[in-house]
Amino acid sequence: MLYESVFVFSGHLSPKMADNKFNELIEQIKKTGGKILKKENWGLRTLAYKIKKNSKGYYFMINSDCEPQTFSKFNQIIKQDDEFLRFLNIKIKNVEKELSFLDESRSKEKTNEK
Amino acid sequence: MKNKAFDNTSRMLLNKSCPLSGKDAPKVDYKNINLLKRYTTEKGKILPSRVTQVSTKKQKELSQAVKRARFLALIPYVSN
Repeated sequence: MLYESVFVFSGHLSPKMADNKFNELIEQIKKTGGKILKKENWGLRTLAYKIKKNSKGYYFMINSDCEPQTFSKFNQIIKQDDEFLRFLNIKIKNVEKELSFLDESRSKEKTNEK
Repeated sequence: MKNKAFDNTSRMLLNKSCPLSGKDAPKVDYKNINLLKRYTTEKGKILPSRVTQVSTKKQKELSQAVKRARFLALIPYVSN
């Protein structure tokens, strides 16, 4: 099964700590036999509304190929972890090669063009 | 503000075909915030398809995308 997952971490963390948290999750997925096909870092973004008293958050996205059970624990983890704000998981039909609209490197390119 | 909304709708009414169908149409995706903002009101409500001329199929996709983006706090549920 192909999945696209987005993770949001608290903006109170340092960029390194957010990265570490992200990598931990990726390793969990790999342990259960999942393959990571694409990683994207959307950077620190302002949230449209407050989540757990945070007004900013680090966004990460992955496309992966793994078993349906892999993600079953993630929503439980969120309840216990104050710095893990959101987790969205959707099925996709194919992996897009291009970077998505929100990727950090892409938004930088746009500002340079202007 | 009301006048501006009216201008948008009248312009959209002239265009009879769905702006999100066809070859060159942009992909409806929760990551494309600029597109989603065009099809929501300033308060954050989804615009009805009778105003925007979006086809039923695409309107379904659009509503799903808006809800995903809201959940991730990319766009607000309500804004004042």
